[in-house]
Amino acid sequence: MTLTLKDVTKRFKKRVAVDRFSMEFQPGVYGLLGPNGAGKTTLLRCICGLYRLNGGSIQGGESPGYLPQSFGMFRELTLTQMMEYLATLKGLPKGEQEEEIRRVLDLVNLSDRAGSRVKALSGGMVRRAGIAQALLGDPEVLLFDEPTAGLDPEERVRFQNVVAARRRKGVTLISTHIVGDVEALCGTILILHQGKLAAVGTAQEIAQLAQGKVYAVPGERESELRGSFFVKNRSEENGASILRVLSPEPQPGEPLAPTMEDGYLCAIKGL
Amino acid sequence: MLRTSWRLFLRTKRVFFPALLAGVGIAGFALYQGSLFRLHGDVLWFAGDLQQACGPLFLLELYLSYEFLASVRQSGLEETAAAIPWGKARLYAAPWAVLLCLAAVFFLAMEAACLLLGLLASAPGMYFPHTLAVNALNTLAAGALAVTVGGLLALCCKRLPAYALLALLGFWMLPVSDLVPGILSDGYHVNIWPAKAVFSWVLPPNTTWSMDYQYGISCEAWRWSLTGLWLCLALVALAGKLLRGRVRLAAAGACLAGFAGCLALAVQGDSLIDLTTSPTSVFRADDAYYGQHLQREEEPAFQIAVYDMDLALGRELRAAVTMDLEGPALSAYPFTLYHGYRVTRVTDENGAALPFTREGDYLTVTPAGPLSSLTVEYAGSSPMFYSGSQGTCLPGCFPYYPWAGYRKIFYGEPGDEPRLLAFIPRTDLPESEFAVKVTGGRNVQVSLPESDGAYRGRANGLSLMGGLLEARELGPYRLVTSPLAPPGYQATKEWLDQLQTAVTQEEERQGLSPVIQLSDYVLLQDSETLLNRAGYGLATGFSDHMFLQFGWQTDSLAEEIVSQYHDPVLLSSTEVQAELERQAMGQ
Repeated sequence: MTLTLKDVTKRFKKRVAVDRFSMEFQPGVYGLLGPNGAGKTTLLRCICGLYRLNGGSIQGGESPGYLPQSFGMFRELTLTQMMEYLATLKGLPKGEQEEEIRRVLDLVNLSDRAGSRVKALSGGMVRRAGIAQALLGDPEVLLFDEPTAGLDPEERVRFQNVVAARRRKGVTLISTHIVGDVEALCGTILILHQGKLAAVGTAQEIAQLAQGKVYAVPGERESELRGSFFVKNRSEENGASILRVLSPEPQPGEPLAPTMEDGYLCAIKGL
Repeated sequence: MLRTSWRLFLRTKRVFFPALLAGVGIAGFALYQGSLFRLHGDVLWFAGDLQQACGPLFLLELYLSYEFLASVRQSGLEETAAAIPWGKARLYAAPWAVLLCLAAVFFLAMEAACLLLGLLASAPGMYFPHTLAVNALNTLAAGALAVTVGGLLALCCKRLPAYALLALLGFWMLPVSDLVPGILSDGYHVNIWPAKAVFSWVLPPNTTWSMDYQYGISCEAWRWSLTGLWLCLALVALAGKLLRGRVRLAAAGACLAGFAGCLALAVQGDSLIDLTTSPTSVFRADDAYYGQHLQREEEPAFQIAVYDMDLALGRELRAAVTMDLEGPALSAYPFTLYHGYRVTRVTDENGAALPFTREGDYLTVTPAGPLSSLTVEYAGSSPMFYSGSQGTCLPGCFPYYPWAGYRKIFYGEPGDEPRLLAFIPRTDLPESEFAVKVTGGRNVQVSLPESDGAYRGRANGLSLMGGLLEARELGPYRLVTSPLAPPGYQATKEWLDQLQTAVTQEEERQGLSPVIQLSDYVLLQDSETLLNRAGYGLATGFSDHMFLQFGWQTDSLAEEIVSQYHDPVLLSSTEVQAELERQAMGQ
């Protein structure tokens, strides 16, 4: 199946949140990267049909599995009751619900908490339950907005495994700030900036955006930095301060091999 | 989903426990009213007093609805549900359905109390459909409105502004806030009563007043359209909030159509009993009017030989009255018709329009030439003598149809001291032939006999009464009674025989020939409106029918009946005061 977005535009009063976004998604895992306010959440909500578009069209993606950025449940119900509720909301036949709920809770390692009330679950458990409800009914399109926020490393790996297992089944779109998740999981990475698609490619292709633009500059030579540059981070090496600098111009430092994060920063900073 | 929502409701303490308390409260209140019933034995009073619970119940349902749906909104599930087709609507529809069920439970509790008491007290048949309609309006429909409005507030407002709105709405709907329009109206001549009425009349009015057993408990068509209007409006807003695309347009469109329909019905108003301090109420309207307008009393130079009437009773009275006139040709024909009736047309026997002037209660027709017959078309109502969707109280001594001449009909005059606020029972008019067709109205009883689809006869007044009434015969006596009046106000054959004896004795005591035979008259039960509000007294007599306070002491009633038929009608409050003093001194 294919999810096709053509010139999708969404405005909120005068501000353009998503600006003529076009993309054809084939079965696979896609990562959506971008700074705050780039339009990632808005884009996901447009695909879900939560917003009426101001322009463009979306084909495919009916009834997606969706985990929003802020997900909650009825605190007075048990986890199973909550999953039954959501399964009914999604139109799953009553006879299939029990098995399906067991399957998804198993996938997120919450089977032992099935009988617990939601108010007794930790934030991470609630998040995992959110992932589980998105998987209910095995939808063709899965949309995750910050799915691993609040998850411990073990649960993040589990999530990555769950997503990886679905690689060929349908389209999975993950919006996240965690570059590690994107690198590990996503065959294609989309970088959104100010509502526009700034770059698209594999992790290596994104990294290539920063080829020849990454330098390790000793701290004492910071004043020699010239032209447009971005100090990505400062670190200590053998007692000496080293700056990792991104710049399209030659800088007084050792050139470094770019990472995907470097490429992402170059794309959003216009370097 | 409904089961889950019920589960959620039962586990949400701040919603479940108040609801439980409300149920207990209703049961307790019903038991308390039941204990009072053992003292007064009045089934309608019981059911009427039970309606006092409707106001607090409405406010509670507003609170419950707000809190329950706010908890759904705050659960963080809305965005997830919204991504599912119909998800958001179902997310809120299920708890809303739970609240509607709760409103239905409250309705069933009220109805069960009324039903149980009615069965135990062997109430007359008309008690049961009447109380069912009353409870359906005041508890079920109002409850549905409360849960819809509360839910809408939960979707639109944060807690503080929502509670402020709920408090304001509650205050404005309850009788305690009558003070505000009262002060503005009386002190500053700013009339905002209509703006209050469209809110406060959703709840049952007049719940602390004595009952008009013919009218029953307030359940007018106008109140149904008012409740429907608000409900449809709230549903339009809900549809806009919860639905999407074409479904939203279709649903909102349907609700908007419902709103428009209810609005069209609501603006028609209704002729009903308003016991508030509004300027248009029973107690204020006529007092204010006659305190500022002089009345006239002029005998006409003509007579009305025949009345041919087409009377339509709906939300108001609509009439076309053709009068055959007797007497010399006049340049002006004076008539009396209560000022609440708007004259739309006056025509002669050929249908040609006749010039006329309307001044308060007086209508003057000024034809160009001789006139043998004219038709007056009019419509309207009186605050005191209702003719609306719930009942009709149009006694023949009140000019709801044109009378020949200018007649004084109210005791209170500008500058009068003492001020007697009552209508004059004009039973002193000459007799005419009547042919009357009546359409509409609720269970209308006419003082004339019916034949060939019309009411015909000769009388000095025509009375139309409708509502919770029953026509029956007891031996030789023909009665129109209010079956729901308490036992002490019912007529039995023994009581009627006693009354006849007392009447004959009173006539003899006064040196009069005993001519009054009760069996010659249709005997209609006096209502609270006629007896206490209009001030007509224990008996009002016409040539073919009379209004009586059934069950009263026969001696004092007989005295009233005899004076009705043998003494002239008193036309001023001074005369009435003098007569009362004379009676007190035993003269």
